[in-house]
This record gives sequence, structure tokens and C-alpha cells, in this order.
Amino acid sequence: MERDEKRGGLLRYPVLILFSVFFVGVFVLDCLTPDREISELENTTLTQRPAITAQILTAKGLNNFFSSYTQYTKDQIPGRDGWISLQSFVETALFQKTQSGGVLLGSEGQMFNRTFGLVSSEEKTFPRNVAAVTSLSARYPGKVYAMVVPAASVIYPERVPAAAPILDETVYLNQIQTAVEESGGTFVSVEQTLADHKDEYIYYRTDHHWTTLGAYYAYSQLCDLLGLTPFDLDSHQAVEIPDFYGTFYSRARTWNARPDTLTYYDLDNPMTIYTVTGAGMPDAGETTGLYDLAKLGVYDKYAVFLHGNNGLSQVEGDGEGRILVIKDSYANSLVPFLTANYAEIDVVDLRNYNYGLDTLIADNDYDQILVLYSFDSFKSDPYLYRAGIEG
Amino acid sequence: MIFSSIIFLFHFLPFTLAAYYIAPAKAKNTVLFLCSLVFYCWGEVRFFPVMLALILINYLCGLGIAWMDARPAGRKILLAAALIGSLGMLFYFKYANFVLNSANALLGTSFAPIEGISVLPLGISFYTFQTLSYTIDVYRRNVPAEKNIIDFGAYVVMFPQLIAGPIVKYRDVAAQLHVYKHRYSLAQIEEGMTIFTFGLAKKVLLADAVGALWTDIIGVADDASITFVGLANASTALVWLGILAYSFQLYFDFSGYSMMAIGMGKMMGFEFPQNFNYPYISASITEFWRRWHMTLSGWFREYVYIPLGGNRKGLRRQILNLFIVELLTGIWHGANWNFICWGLYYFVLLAVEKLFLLNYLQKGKIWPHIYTLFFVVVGWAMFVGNDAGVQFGLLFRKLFIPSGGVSPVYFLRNYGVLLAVSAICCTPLIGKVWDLLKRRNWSRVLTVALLLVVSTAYVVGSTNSPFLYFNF
Repeated sequence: MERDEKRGGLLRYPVLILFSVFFVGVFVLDCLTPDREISELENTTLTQRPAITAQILTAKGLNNFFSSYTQYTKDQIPGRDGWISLQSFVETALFQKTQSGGVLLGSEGQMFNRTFGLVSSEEKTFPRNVAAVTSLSARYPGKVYAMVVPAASVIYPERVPAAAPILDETVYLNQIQTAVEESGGTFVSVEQTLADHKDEYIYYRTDHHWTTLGAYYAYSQLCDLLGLTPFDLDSHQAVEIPDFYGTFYSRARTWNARPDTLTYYDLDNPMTIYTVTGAGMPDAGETTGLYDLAKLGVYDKYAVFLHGNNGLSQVEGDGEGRILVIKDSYANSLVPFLTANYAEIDVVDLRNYNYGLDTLIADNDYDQILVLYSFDSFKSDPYLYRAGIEG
Repeated sequence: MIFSSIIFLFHFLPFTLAAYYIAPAKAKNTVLFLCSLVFYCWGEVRFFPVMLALILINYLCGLGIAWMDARPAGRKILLAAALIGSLGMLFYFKYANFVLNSANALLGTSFAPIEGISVLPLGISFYTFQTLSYTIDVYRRNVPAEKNIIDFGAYVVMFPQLIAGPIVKYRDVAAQLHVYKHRYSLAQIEEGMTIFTFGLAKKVLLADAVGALWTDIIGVADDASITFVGLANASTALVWLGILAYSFQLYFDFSGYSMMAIGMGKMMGFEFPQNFNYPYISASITEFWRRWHMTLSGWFREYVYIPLGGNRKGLRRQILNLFIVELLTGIWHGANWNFICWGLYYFVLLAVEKLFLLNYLQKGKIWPHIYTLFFVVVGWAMFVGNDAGVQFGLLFRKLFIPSGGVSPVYFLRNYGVLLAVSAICCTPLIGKVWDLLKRRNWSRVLTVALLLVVSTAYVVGSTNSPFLYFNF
């Protein structure tokens, strides 16, 4: 450096000081702050510092080391959550965007999945899933009830950002309806029911699920079809959990998101979660309650219902008969209501149940089989095909 | 390792700069050489020998050419060896499979493609041209041959300009490579840091963000799970908006990268040539190519166009020379027919301007700008025509045969502010704003601080988007 730049001369270069302090600062912080195991907000495990082993002596090993180290620096940057929120703030406040992190930001604080069309994998899974449900209803004539729930964008089109080319789900819902009805099943079309109650709080703003109330209206419609008396809301204790920031929020991270309130009805019905090791009804299971209250303390509060998505669980109800629910997480907030009508509710989540259903159905002789999915996961679920497999 | 990644910004760069500044004067080039090699190998270790071979070939040929000073035949043979060695590698990695496939398609032959070269060695198109500039200059006696292989290696792999230019000629930095003491001043470092920050902001705040409009339409090539409109469903107006966004993205991406390179060069005491000079304000295609990727056009002018006779051998010969240069420019950008079309498209435009249009353009005021922008944007459509999710024919039908489909309203609303900011940043207006801001210390520091913090938020916040020019 120039010799005439004496001590203190550095102060004449404030940008140089700023730049150096910033980069060295982040670097030092990165070294000092402890690494996190998981990111609750991003709902993922974070990469840990890769160990240096003898493997790095080979080209492949060295490449692997380099790429996991790159991933590690990405995941463990100090203040990761804060940086992401800052980006979202600049995007929405400064650049005035109506989407953030792949989530459309609608009016009334309502968030929507950014679904512009079926992606190439869904072009395959959607017809395959339709075929699986029709195969099931053809195998069990008269027993199968299929309920595919539209996303909030169908019920609240006026809240979707103007002219957003969001996928028209009704076209596909009609396709499912036709196919199910032709195969001898019943399609429970909840679109109109939900639209009738759109003034109420039936979809979360910051989460991709319906609320417990939304689930209740769909459940009531099912009861109408089956001639059952619905669960009486007034005679049960509702517990309200405020400050629920759901999955849309964890992607969008908007500074002005309006948190949701999650409601559940305090029920003491036991639920057994089975360890599934083969087709049919397993012997061993762990009995617990309908709700995993520990989840109220974490970010993903929706996991409170039914302890998340287990392969096979059995709920003891207060009614008569048996029902099998084949479902995604939309059903988790609906199943508690079924305790009013059935003595036994078996819940299968095919994402964690790696077998065909016929043996299970033969073992239990169900009165009804309810297939309950949101359209969003129905079009893309890679495991629903299992419902179509015989055996 | 792309510049806009956490590993580069917060690990590689601070470490390398610290090592470089701390190292004794004589060892600085060694530090630069070693760190650059790590940078080069980070993405793909397999190509390390390619780099080594390239350095050795040109280093040895350079020495040999100098040594055979009195023997023209020997000098010619060595130059040819360096050209064949360097261009041969470039051809093998970048063009061999394209030539085989084209031969199979055109002649009905059935050559099997060469395995294992689907990924290009990082920056091979850039550093091949850089090393060639050295050997040719030594042959022309424009520079003395480099005797120290570390110094030469440091020039070839120098990480700031390794992957995306600017294409720095050896003689641009040769003198500085041999200055050991007082290679840089604090003022120069500070300027470098400022330019680097601007480049980073251009890349992550503008290029990546506005590029999302284009991927909203055509999808993300390496992530099939991301939903998109689909070119076939988009209306003509939306496709035009998309290709406009792509034009912004390409410019900010490339010029942002060049600025980061120039900034880092300054931080280490090197002055790299400018690469972009507001290309989108050009009033003719001829002017556009004087403002876009200036180091590449400069390279072709110096090492191809002028040796072929340039404009000194009559108009016909000049047009032929133009044809050759534009064809090579197209080929340089990628091994595919759309790049060749794109090169020839510019040949036609440049030739027409040379023959008569330029005179009219110089008299016009507004329309030459519109004319230039129009043809440049259509050129980018040709350029992107072979990307995943784009069908060349469909893209041009959508652009030029009006059709309905998804309207651009939502996209204008969502990207409106960003598009407006992008447009301003394409003009010298943004330079004037900076001139105002840098007058006072506080506003200067605040601007850089703000850009640094927000850019970091974007780097962390978005999944890093790989640099567009990676495949070139």
C-alpha cells in the first residue's frame, strides 16, 4: 500500500471499512455461532459441516465434499431466518410484488399456492390417482365416498391477486366426479357447501389447509348423504389456539402476515397408532389421544391433529359401525367429528402405508370407505395409486 | 462456485483476499494462483488436468516462440501447436458432440456421442480466448514471453474473470503481474469494493428477480416441480413481456458478473477492461456491438477481423470478414444451431447497416433506438430458442402471430416496479444518480451498505440461481 497513507488514513476510505467489516463480520459470526440441526420454519433438517475423510483423495470424494460444504455454508449462514424475512420485505414492500416464495399474496391476508398448471409429473399422477379411486369404488360397490377439497382460490376467487393465471381446479374436480360416479362410487362435491359458508372462517390465511370449521361443513354434508346426525359443536368444548403461522407463511415470510387461529374440540376418544409391517390389520400399536398437544408449541401447529400423518391409526368413536378413511392431511381435522357417528374409525395415510388395502378391508368389514384429499395433493400424490392395487 | 453464493461471498472471498493482502509481495501471485485453482476445481475436480494442460501448452509455446526469435518457421509451428492445443480442447468439450449429432442428422451417419463431456469445464470459452491472446501477442512480438509459470498460471486461472469474463488480454495485466510492491492502493481497493457491490446487486436484485418472469412462462429447466404458465398457453402480449424480461435478465446477469470481476480485479490491484457500456441505449446494431460484451467483440476484431483484412480490402472482402466474425461469435456462444442462426442474424443486420442503413440511422432521433431494441430483443428470442421449455418455432409463432391465452396483466402487476427499475438501470440515468450519491460520504456509504445487506438477503433468501452464461 502507498507509503504516504499513514495510520488513520484508513478512515478516509469508509466504504472499504464497511465492506471489510461486513464480510469479515459475517465470516467470523459464521465460525462463532453454533450450527443448527433443523430449521423449524423451513421444516427441514440442515446440512452439517462435512467431515474431512480419506475420501477427498479421490476426484468423486472431493467433488462430494465440495458440494456438501457449499450446502453447509448455505444452510448455516448466521441469521438465515432474518435474511429470508428481509428479502420478503423488500420484495413485497419495495418491489410491490403480489407473490413471495412461491405463494400468491391475496387480499384479506389470504395466501394461495402458486399453481399455474399441472407440472409434468402431475400430468401422470393425476390420471393415475383418478384410476386408483375408481378401481377402489368398483371393487367395493356402494361403499366408497370420494371427497376432493378445492383450494381456497376456488372459494375466494376475489381474493386472488387480479388476473393471476391460477389453475382452474373445477375442471379437474368435475373429471374426478364423473369417473367416480361411473365406477359406482359417490363423489361428495363440497365446493358449493364451502362457497355457501365463505363469509365464515373456513380456510386458514397462512396455511394450505382448511380450518376445523371448514372441515365441519364438509363433514356435515357427508352426514347428510349418509343419513347421520352430525357432531354437535355447541355441546363440545372448543379450544382456540391463536398465533398460528402456517406453511404458506413459512414460504412467503411476509412481514405483515395475519396469523391464524387454530381450533380443536376437546375429545377424550383414544386413538391407536399402529406400526405397519405388512398388509392387513397389525397387532401392535400405541394408544394415545386424538391430539398431539406438544405440537401446539412448535411452528407447524396443524400437526396437533391425529399426531400427524401416520400410516394406520384407529380411533374409537362413540357411534356405531366402522369407517375407513383414506386421506391426506386435510382429513386430520375432520376425523375427530366422525367419533360422533362411528364406533371405529380407521385412518390410512398411503404416504406411510406401503401396501394394498384389500386385506385391511377384508379384516375389518367397513360400512363406508371415505377417500378424502385436497385437490392440491390429489393431483400430485405419488402414493394414492396404492388404493388401486388389489391385495 | 458462483459469485452470488454464500460459499463464495462469505468464505472464499474473505479468505482469499486476506491471504493475498497478508502474503509477502513476492508470494502474492502464488497465493492468487493457488486460490484460483481451488475456485476452479470447486465445481468439478475432474477438469483440473484440462486447466493444467492449457497452461503448460501456452506457457511452453510462448517460451519457444521467444527462443526461436530468428527462425520464422519454428515460430509458426509453435504458434500452430498452441492454437491447435487450445482450440482443440475447446472443440472437444464444447462442439464435438454437436458436430457428431449434426453429422448424424444431416448425413445419416451413426457416430456415438462422446461420453462424460455433457458438462463443460468451467469457463473454458473464456480462458481459452485469454490464453490465445497471450500466445498470439508473443508471436506478434507485442509482449515478451512470460518466464515465470506461476505468474502465467495466475493470469490464466485468475478467479475474478475465469468463468464469465471480461476476456482480459495478457498484455492488459502483464505489467501489473510483475509489480510486486505497491500493487494496489487503498483508493483502488475501495473503488473495487464499490463496483463489486453494484455488480452483486445487479445480479441478485435485478437479473435473478426479473428472470423469474420468464421462468414463470417457460418453467425452471432443472426443477420440474415448479409450476409455470407454459409457452403454448401464453398470449402474444405475455410472450413479448417475457422475452423483454429475459433481455433484462441476460444483460444484468452478464454485466453484473463483469462488474463483480472488475471490482475484485481492482481489489487485487488489476485493471480489467470494461465489458458493457449501456448496450440497450444504442441507436444502431453496429453501436450495440460496440457496447455489448466489448471484450469479446474486441478479441474477434483484433485476432480475426483485422488479420483478415478488416475494411482495408474493399467492400466485398469486408462483408465476408463480417460474415466470418459473426458466424464465429454465434458459435462461441454455444454449440447449437440457434446460436449459429443468431450469429448470422447479426451478420445480416450489420451488413445492411454497413451498406446503407447507417446513414439513415444517424439522422434519426427516436426510431433508431426503437429499431435497435426491437432487433436485439428478437435476437434474444433466437438466443433462448433452444432452452428447455422453449420450442423455437412455437416461440416465434407466438411472437409474430397474435394469439390469445394467459394475459400479461398479472405479470405486469407483480413485476411492474421491478421492470421499471430495470429499465432505468439500463440507461445512464442510474450512473447520474450514483454521481449525486457519491458526492457526500454518508450517502455513498449508506448506498453501498444498503445494497450489500439487501443483496445478501436475496442471496440467502432465494435458492441460488446458477449463472446464465455458465454453458458458454
